[in-house]
Amino acid sequence: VTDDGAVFLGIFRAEASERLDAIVEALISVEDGSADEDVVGSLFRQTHTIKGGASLVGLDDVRRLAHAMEHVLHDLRATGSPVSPPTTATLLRAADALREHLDGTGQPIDEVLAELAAAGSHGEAPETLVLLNGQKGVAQTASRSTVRVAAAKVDRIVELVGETGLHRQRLDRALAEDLPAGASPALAEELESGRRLLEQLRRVSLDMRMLPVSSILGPLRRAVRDLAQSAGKEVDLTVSGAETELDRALLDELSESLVHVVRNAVDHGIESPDEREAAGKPRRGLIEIRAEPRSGLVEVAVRDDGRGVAAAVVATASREQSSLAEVLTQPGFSTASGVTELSGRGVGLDAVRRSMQSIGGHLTVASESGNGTEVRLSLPLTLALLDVLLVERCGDVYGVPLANVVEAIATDGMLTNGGRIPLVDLADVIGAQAPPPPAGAPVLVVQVGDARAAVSCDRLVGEDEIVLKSLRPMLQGLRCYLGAAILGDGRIALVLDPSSLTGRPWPQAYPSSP
Amino acid sequence: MTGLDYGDTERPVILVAEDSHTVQAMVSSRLERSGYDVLATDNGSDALRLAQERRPALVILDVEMPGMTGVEVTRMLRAENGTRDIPIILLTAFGEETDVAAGYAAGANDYITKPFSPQELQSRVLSLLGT
Repeated sequence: VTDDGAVFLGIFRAEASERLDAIVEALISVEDGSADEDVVGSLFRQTHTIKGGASLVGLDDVRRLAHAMEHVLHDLRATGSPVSPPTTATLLRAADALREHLDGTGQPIDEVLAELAAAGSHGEAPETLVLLNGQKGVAQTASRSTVRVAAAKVDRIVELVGETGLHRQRLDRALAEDLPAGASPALAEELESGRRLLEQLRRVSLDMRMLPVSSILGPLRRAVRDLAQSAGKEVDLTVSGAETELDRALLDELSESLVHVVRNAVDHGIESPDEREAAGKPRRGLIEIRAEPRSGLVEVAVRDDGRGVAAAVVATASREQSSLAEVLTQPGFSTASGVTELSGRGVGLDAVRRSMQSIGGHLTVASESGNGTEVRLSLPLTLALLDVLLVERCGDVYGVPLANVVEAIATDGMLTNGGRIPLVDLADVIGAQAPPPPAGAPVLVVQVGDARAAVSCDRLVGEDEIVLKSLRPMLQGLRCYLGAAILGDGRIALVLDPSSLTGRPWPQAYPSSP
Repeated sequence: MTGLDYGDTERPVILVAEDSHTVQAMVSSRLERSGYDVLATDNGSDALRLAQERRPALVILDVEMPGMTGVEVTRMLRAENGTRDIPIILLTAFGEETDVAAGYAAGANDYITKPFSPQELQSRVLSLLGT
């Protein structure tokens, strides 16, 4: 009998949870005016059924809550009155409480019961209840209308969608080989609608993994406050574009990087209130975080109005013809230059740069001595799918993220662009021994942040949307790849980290203009 | 649910109409263990159809169901020759006394109030089926 009890409890939990979903959905439809005519009746039946089950499996709080909800709905049904906004809010709140008790995490229910009793006995809850509980109830329930799913399951769906896309490409190829074009208009039409459906599925499944940047801001605000306090500084934090969405996996990386960057800004950028006042600045420092989508990337900028990077550092960068980000992230940079104030920044930034690289993003730094620093993190929107330009070199196919390709040009050995862009042979990057590409072979201009490089290869294969597979365990020592992808024709392409093309000094200069 | 091949075992068939899966599972499990085959459904109109088609030995109806209530199903079963004499037990929730009155008026033989114990269910079924 005890075993049975557990079985029935399990059945009840699953059933009640589904019914709660339906209840919440119905209540939200009441709120937005899209409810069915019989919404009160169906809400009544749902709560009634939950009540019956709860009484049998002995979940008394669930039963009492369901009973009280049912009572309110019973009266509404009897009088034929619509569900008013305050009552809807109360019912949503009760549904939340009920779900918590179903999960075994419930709080005492007296308050909710009283609220339901008030809604039932007066026909309507008094206005004060709306203000106290209504809004809260609605806000909480908006998130209740969502379904919690293990992240791994969503990842698996995205992966399967990607593989289905590949399968589709193979199918198209096979069909193209066996059937002359236009042989079957009906088949072509079906294939086209299949392609559209798959595209929709891809968008929807990727969308499931997207979360707003705001979801990682909580700890950041806390960190700024704590750091400022312990350093005796006064700092305001403003955020714009917090609604910008990013793949969940990328948000994790972004979150860590942002903490580093913000920590640097508070520790090393923002001056003490007195120092700021002496420099004619407001006593309170300002850190602005700005997130915005930008052609296939998301850019997150952290700007502070502090003292900026020392002029000596900027001079070093300019002398070495490298970017500020490169100088600041050089190992051992801070000791070599003797700018102790920047030691923390250097170490932190190096970690940030590596983190960004590992996800196919990059880092740029701009600074004006005395006036502040801006660190920009650019990230791809999603890791799972990537638009790439496929190129061939030494008989193998490589992908370069399309977002980083400025242009692809055919060379005739007479390129004219002032000789400022280094020319890179792809064979050197991948460590292959090969004769140089033939005359007239294509060159890609790749850009990462401010850095550009022209990359030569044998042949352009075309653009493709690929499912990026991580190769980290296998290619740990090789920083030049983001991952690999299986192409529609079954070949495997290694996808190049664009910063490996632009990110180091190349001995060979781009041919200068004649 | 089981109960369709009662030809060789001759177990009496009981129709259970109850929209709560939990209650349905509990009732079915108890009845099957007591030697009955169970036909189960979660709505009133299917209950009516199944009762007409299968002629079960007993019908257990939840009062509150989507589509057609247990009381309505009772009334329809009593109105038809083929189903007029099938004993009917209504399942009601605590506090639904008016439904009980309506149920008796429609022709139900007995009622059980949720929550109920398996023993209680079994004894009501036994007293109606006399087996």
